[in-house]
Amino acid sequence: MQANHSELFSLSNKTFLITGGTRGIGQAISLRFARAGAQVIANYLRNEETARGLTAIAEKDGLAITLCRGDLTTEKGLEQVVQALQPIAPVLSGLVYCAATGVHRSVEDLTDRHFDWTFNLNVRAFFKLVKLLLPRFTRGSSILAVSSLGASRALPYYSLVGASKGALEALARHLALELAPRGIRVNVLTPGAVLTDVWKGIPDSDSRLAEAIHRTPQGRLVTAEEVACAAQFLCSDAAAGVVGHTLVLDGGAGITC
Amino acid sequence: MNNSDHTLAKVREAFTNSFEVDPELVTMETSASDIPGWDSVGHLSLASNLEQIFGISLDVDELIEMESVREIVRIVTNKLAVRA
Repeated sequence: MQANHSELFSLSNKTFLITGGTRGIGQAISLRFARAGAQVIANYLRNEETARGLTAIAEKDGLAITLCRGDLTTEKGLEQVVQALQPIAPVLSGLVYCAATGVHRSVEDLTDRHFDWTFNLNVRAFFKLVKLLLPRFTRGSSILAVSSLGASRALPYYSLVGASKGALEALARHLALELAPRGIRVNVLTPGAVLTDVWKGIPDSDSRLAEAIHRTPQGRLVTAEEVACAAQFLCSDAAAGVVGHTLVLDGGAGITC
Repeated sequence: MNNSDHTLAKVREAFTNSFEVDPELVTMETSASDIPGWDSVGHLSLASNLEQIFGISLDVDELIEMESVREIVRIVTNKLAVRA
């Protein structure tokens, strides 16, 4: 018998690790997945207050969200994540890689260290985490790398982050090719400008956000919840045939001149 | 103003540049939970501002240790002492 509509999009009986899962887009994905029935392990590093806030929402709404602290750029941090998964998620239905960082400066102010800091989390840690988790992924699992428009478009003060996201997307496509025969789908989700705390650290954020709204046919920014809905689709059985795809969610900004 | 106060004042400047926070709200006890923008992106913004203001280079291990203002002041003070 064929699955009905709600079963196709449901994440019931699935377990996901969501990196950077306690803030901004990552938090929205953690909540959406849990509301769709998934057990969620939300990885974070720094902000205990925000992590506790997510726990409070989960407890209030009866959602299965567990926190897991660990710095993905270090061997110790990766080991902490794997150890934390062992008792609650010996097998995984998927990984949403939302953790990201970057130095937003002009090219003459960027250094080799800034390059390493940015690529360590945005690319290298994704590679290492996927390798570490491979034995845990069941057939039908889904890996989703959250990217940004800087992977394919040029933005001011965004050279390192954009380049790292380009590398992330390329890596995801190659992983998609290699892992599809094992029944593991790998895809990329690329949101346009989404209003989160990240913008506080970006130069000229007000004017850039205004420009993003101006270029978007919808006349508004995409919301974190909308990004989370697209992530749910890509990680659900409804997207069983979607492999190595980059889904752009920019409210139509990409089709304007 | 002693050296520690002077260092804290400049660390506050880095916080203001990175997170647009009132410098008076930044104390030795401040941690990431107290600053709304202090996430993984904010952390690198803070680190690059500290490098620029103090004229120092931070390595990856130091980045990881920078979990509170107290730790940042300690790291910066040590680096300035080595340079002196």
